[in-house]
Amino acid sequence: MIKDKHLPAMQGMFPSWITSCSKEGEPNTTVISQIWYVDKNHVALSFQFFNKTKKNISVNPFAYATITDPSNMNQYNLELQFDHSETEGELFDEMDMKLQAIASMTGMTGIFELQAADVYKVLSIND
Amino acid sequence: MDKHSQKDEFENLKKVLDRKTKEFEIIKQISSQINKTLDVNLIASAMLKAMDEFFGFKYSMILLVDEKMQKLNVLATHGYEIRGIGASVKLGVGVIGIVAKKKKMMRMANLGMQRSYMKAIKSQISPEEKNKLGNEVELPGLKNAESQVAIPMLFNNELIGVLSVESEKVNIFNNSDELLIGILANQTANALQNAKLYQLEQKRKLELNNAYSELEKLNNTLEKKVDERTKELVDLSQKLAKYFSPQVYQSIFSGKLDVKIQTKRKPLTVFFSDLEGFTELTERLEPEVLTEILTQYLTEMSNIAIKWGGTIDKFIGDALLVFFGDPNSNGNKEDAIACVSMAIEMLEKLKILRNFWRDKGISKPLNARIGIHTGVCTVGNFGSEDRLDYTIIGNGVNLASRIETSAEPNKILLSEDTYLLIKKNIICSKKQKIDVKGVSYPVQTYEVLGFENKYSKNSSIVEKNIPGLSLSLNKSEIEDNQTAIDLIKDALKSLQS
Amino acid sequence: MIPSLTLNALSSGLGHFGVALHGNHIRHIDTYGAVVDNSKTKITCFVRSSESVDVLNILKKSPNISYYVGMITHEAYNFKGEFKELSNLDSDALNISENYRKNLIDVLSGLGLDAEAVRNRYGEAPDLGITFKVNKVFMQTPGPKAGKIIS
Repeated sequence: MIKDKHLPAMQGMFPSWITSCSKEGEPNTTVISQIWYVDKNHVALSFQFFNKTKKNISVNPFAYATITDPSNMNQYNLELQFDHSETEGELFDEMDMKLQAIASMTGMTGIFELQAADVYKVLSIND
Repeated sequence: MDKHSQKDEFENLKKVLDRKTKEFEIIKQISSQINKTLDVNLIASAMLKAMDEFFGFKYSMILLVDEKMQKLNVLATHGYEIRGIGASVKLGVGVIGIVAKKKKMMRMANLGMQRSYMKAIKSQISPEEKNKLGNEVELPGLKNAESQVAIPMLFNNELIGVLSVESEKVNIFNNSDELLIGILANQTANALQNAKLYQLEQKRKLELNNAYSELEKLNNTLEKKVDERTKELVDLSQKLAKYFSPQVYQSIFSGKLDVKIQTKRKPLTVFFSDLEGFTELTERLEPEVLTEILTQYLTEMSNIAIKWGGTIDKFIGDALLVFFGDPNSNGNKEDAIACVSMAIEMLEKLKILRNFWRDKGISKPLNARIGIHTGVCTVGNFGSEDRLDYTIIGNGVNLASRIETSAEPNKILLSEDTYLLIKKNIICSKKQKIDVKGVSYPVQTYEVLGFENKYSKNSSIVEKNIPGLSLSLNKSEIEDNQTAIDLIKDALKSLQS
Repeated sequence: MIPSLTLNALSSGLGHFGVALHGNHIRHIDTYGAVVDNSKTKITCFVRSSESVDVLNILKKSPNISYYVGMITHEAYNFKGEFKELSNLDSDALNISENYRKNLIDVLSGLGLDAEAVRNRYGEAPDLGITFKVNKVFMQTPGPKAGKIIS
């Protein structure tokens, strides 16, 4: 489902935005720095602090996200469904390393701790 | 798929293949180049230069992890204004530090945005909380790097270091670049490991050589020390030798005579002598002159004693005690003969010394008295554990001493025991019997006249003894021949009546 | 009450307008400018109707809105409220949008993004206004205060 052309939009080069929904049907739109490519049918979000999005997902697993390819400003929209969380493994390490690298350079080690890598199933992605 | 797009796809694949082949060739080239050298610095700089030349990676660096695995040190850089060799990165800090810590590669595409994101957050943190934070770290590399690929260099899964490539352009590295840099990082890791092993090898060799020469030096020093000690010991023993009779000294140092308190009883011929009138001289002469005379006398006498094989027991002032039969013996008879022969030579020497001293102004002549006895004595080391004296004791010694006091000046007086042993070789005249403390019977003494052969050739001496008659004639000593003739005539008259 | 400290972000930050029904009916769109009413209780977002089909469909069934605006400096706010009305954009609104888009294009190009691509993306003017009443305003600037309600 995710194609090669989508990949440049999934490197955290340009922010992504995601909307989730509460049990009462109230939307929450917010911006995140990166949506990570996992495989053709899955993406991941880094879970650092418990926030509204996380809370919403725990009651309603669906979300809508937009990613941008910075080279041509093309936008792609994804329908997502929360699948599972990972606290170790390749994906977690990759996320963690990136976080730690930047945090350590700015003296922010300890402020940013990766709690988990949240994996979502891609229900659709528009071309 | 239509023919057109098929053709396009084919062209694309061909392009990719060509590129891959070229890359492969270049990698081979680089690999052989860096594997030719065992110099760590050369390997690193060659690799970085090649990466720019062939693949356009303008800014790159190689860091090596230190022994403690706590930080990385810049080994070589390429493209940077400041070379930054020796700059260091702590493990876990920054892209390079994290890659080293996790031993996993990392590709960053927009470092600038990430940094500003963190800074924005940091600016919101209250001052109190800010104190808990670390400082912003100065890291080697481009100040405004946007893209970076950092690959850990591993050997047997052990971290050797990190290869890092940077760019000011955003998102400039793709998957292909990542793979390529990965391969080159492996090549570098292998080459560096080889070089490291070689260096270690060289170091060991050097250490071994150093250890060897140290050992050699030590050996030489020891040899020298041994030589010095030996010389000291020889000097010491030579000094000690003066305090021992040569035979004793020889015996001690050869190991034959064990230096402990041990004594034995054996037959010895004991010689005593002293200088008559010496005590008066000690009061009259200057100490230096006295010492000179005494030293000369004792030296001459000692030499003669040593010549005849006697064991010099001691000097007591002008008195001399020598014995024959221990530690070496030629047999009782031979020992006795040697002793008496020695005594004869001593008297002859003393005659020469007397003349020498008279010329020097010492008017009073020094005369020796000599006493010799052969008997069983106790000989050996006497004394305490720490101070031993190799000497003789016993009645035999007392007897020799007693006989000496009864001797005439410049005469040798013997006990009967000694006489009986030497009478075939040396002519003696019978003298008086003397009482000796500790000896139940009076001791018959004999005075030495001279050697047998000398006597038979020299008709001036007649020495005849039968029971009741003792005839001792020494023409050289008769001042008035007529008196002697008259005495014999009178004796003859009484015998004939 | 819409706090005045949010006005800067509203007038120059990237805006994302989100709506939801239930389950998998969640959508958002970009806005190309926004204005606050005089009473400082309502916001009108400028959107392109061609992009807004799904959002409008959901709004018919559920009025709940989440409007996020964020600056390049990461200063950001979230406005939660209810849909009020749709409207055409008058010349004032169009001017405001044009200034907004021009500024945005400059800023994004200045960051190093391809100028033409940015222009393509944001060049086209919006043609629809969505007005909603603001009930709550949240601080969304990343950091310890994110999620804090400010109005």
